[in-house]
Amino acid sequence: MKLMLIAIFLLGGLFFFSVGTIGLLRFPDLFTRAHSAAKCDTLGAVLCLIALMMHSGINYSSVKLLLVLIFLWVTNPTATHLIVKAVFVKKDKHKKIDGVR
Amino acid sequence: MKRILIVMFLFLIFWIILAEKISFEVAVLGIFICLWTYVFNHGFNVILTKNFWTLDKIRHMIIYLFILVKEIVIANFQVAKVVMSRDMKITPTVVHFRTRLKSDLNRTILANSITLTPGTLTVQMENDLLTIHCLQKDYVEHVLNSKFEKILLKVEE
Repeated sequence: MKLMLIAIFLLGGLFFFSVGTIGLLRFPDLFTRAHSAAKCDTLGAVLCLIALMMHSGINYSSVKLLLVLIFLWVTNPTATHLIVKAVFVKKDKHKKIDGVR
Repeated sequence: MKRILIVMFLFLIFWIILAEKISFEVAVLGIFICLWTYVFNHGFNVILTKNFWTLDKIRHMIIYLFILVKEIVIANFQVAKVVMSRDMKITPTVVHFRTRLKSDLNRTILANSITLTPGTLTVQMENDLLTIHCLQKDYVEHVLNSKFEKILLKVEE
């Protein structure tokens, strides 16, 4: 029973990782690619980590995995935001230069 | 004094989880490192201002967490649907949006949770103006009257 739950969670996580990768390849520009990469990574990683936590039971290593999960949820959107912002600001600048010309 | 005790307690829990055991050496080293960290992060302890930890606020934050998890799961399935569909119907749009939230911490939480929810991505945040990139035009409405902002407004009161 426990093994089956672990397998379901791991497979779900792998499914979302693969969807994220396919999205990364199929979407046309950086912004939409960021959508697929950011979102599918969060749920994929979380499902995999939950499966690992269930595997190791209640001890220090599962608490560590929980910490990894929390920090992942805080840092992932921030990193995505910074990448997208860098491109957005740069794009804006190019537009202005063209406007002056 | 009360403040430093709370921070030290949180840091020590973190330290013990990392150290994996409780002994004299670990405790001494931990207290030393936690004090060190506290001194360096003195200006950043926004969460520990006077009336942050009231019962009502904690209740709202827990509700917020549950809604966030629900929205993330829905978001993932929607993005998966768009990615797997044969002809990708995407209409990327950029929306500007003013929040009514006052504090920087709450604004950051809002921006991060917008990034985590269905087809929306926070591009820029300047004071109260958020620039948001949407994957499809339907999502604009979700952003303009979001559940997150309502709950965060209650937290802020």
